[in-house]
Amino acid sequence: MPIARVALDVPLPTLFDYAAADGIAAGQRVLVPFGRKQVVGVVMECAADSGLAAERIRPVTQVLDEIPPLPAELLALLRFCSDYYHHPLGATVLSALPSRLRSARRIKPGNAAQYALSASGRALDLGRFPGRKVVQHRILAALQAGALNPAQLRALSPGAPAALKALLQAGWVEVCAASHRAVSPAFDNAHTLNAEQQRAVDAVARANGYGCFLLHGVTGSGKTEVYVHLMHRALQRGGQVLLLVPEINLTPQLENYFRSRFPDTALASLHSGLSDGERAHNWLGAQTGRARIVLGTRLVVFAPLPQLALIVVDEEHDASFKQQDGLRYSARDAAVFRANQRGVPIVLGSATPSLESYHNAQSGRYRLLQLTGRALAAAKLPAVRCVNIASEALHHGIGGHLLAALEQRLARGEQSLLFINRRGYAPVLMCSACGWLSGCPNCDGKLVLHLQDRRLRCHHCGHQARVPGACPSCGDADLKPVGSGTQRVESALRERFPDARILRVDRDSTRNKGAWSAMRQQIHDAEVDILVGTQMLSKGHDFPGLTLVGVLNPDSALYSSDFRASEELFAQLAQVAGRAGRADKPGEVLVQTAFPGHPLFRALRDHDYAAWAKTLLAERRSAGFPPFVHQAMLRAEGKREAGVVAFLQQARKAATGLALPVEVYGVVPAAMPRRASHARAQLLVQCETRKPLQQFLRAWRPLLDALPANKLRWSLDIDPLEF
Amino acid sequence: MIEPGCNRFAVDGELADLDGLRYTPAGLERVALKIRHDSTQREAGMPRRVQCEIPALALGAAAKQANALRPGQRVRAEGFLAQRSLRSTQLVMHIENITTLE
Repeated sequence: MPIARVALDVPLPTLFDYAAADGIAAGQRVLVPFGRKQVVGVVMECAADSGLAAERIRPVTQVLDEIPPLPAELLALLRFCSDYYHHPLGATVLSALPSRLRSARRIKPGNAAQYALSASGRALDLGRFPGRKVVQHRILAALQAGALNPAQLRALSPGAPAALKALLQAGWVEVCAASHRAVSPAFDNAHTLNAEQQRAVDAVARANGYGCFLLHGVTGSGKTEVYVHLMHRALQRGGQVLLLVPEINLTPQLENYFRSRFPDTALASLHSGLSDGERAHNWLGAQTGRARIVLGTRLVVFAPLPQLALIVVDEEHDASFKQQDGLRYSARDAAVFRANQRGVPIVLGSATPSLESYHNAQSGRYRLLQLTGRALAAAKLPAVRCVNIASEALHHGIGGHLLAALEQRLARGEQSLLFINRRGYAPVLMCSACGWLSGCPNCDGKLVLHLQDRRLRCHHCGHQARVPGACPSCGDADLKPVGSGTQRVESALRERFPDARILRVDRDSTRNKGAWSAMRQQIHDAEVDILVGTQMLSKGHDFPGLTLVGVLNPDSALYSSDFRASEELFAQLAQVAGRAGRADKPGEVLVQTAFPGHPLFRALRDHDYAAWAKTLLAERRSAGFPPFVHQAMLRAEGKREAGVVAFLQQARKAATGLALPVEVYGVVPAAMPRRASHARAQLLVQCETRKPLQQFLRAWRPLLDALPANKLRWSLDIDPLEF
Repeated sequence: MIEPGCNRFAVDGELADLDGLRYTPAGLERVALKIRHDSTQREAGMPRRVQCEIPALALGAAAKQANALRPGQRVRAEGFLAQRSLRSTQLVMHIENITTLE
């Protein structure tokens, strides 16, 4: 009887042997007994016999064969990730599956419902449709461009399901089957490529098999157009395309965009905003090859794609590609591995590539493709100016230059954006009489003042309290907000420009489902004069009426203890600056800083990523930081600080005892030593090359597993991004 | 008998610089104002003229009282003195009660 070696979602680094019927194959999902429970696992390999005694081997309860086995390529990718990130194989494999496929419930063939206008719906004159039925109107307008699936409709408005029901009842909208794959995909080729774009497309197209291309294009240079042409080539040859994007908020937008460019190509998206059913459906669509374009956030890198022909990672520098818990993988790096394994080209696109990727492009591991001009000849890069806050009187954080520039834009009827990467009203509340600060009782951080609901909130542990009526320490009632957040800037602007339409976009104002997409619509319809927002606004959005970007208070990243902070700040500012002047109007960017001469701002002013990257790489080389070394971080946290430190000390002793050629640093407190009432500390290990580090980790991990770890949690993070 | 911890201050003057009604983060009314004082006092047995401008702050009910006044009005204010902040030794009058003298 064959033995199935099964991956189960347990924190043990082994596979489990079960007796199976003939015909069992690797990649099949099975239901097996584990302890007293029945659990779902994936067969990783089959063997003729087991090393265990026959009576200890229990039989597979059921083969869940309503879906085809996972392809060997995907299993190999998951094995690699488990191996490289030193995460148990079973946990790795199961976490890559949509939750429906992790349960033994039968998977229905799937409701591929799409909604389209009926004949009477098409005949409807939208101009005369009742104006108060806003959502219904929006849905009808969107459906005029073509059929949409439930997820896309939900992206239009949180009220979409109810409105859809009404529209179905009225007979204006009907259910239609999902469109099927066309033999030769239709391609809306409305845009012609400029010379640089064409060169980039040609270079990737010439790649025979694997090739990793870093597409470095300034904001607005038309990277998406390059993707579209490459995707078209891949689709034409019958291939599937995998597209990774950093942010879930961008997926519905991109989905609609690619649908409009490839109107009859089946596209499936995978991200955590989908319902379990939709996710399973789209995943299976990728596996059966029905979906030709598969797009999503980092987890999409584990979608099965039998005809994979091209991988695109957009905004490759984005930190959200790195998962911060469980399997701490970098989806970008996993994608590069996957492309290599499958022998297909991969394009990493960004206006501000990560130093890791840029270094790889410089050293010849990746090929560098550059787009240096904006795609629309009329759109110029914005003029960036630094305003020294030392010589400015600040009004709730906003200086005179910026106020004057805002006034001009209001007079001209153009949009402005103020970028401040801090939500809430003020980052701390202070008593000026005695010096009391609103500290969090559970963390080393401060409670942030949210004035609208008069609460103090910790952005780290979620603790919240009412704003105290008087100082808890001395009783003075005249407590003062210190510093500025989005809410304070918003209210200062409302006071200053009472007639302007001001919109705040941050995690608080977009908490309700669909709020953000409704706001985006408002911005596009020019119903907003001034936008105030956090980095949510910096990513990938195209606001054609925007001509002024103001950056408030970017300086804290310049003296952060995290060596990546300035790299991230530059990326963020370049992105947000790139929002200005993308259509025919020139853009202007004003940065309020105390260090106008800092090389970062100089590079920003000159739109010179290359110079900035050169400066940073030289710094990193001399300091011995990534990408010139490879790192692994062991983090531990627990209620008792002594226990946490003792664990890490033991781990350190085990590490030095191995006497392998890696550098083992000392045990140090984390950047925030106490969070949510837990003490946190860490231990860094590094090496100039990957191989000895991996050898070390393979030897170290079992020693870590064997250490007593009472009342604490620990994790091993390979290529960590956070310090 | 003098009560320990005494800090009483009363002054007459003209209301100068009356800021609008504001609120503390907890929602308590807050008005900042200045009182221009001009009087004759005795010093070393001789009369002398005293002129000064006193920065003052009113919270809660006193802020509501102050908010009903107009700059230029003659007022009597009673309260106590405190330092402006940890870092400033400038004194600020904290008003508990303020009434007009007209």
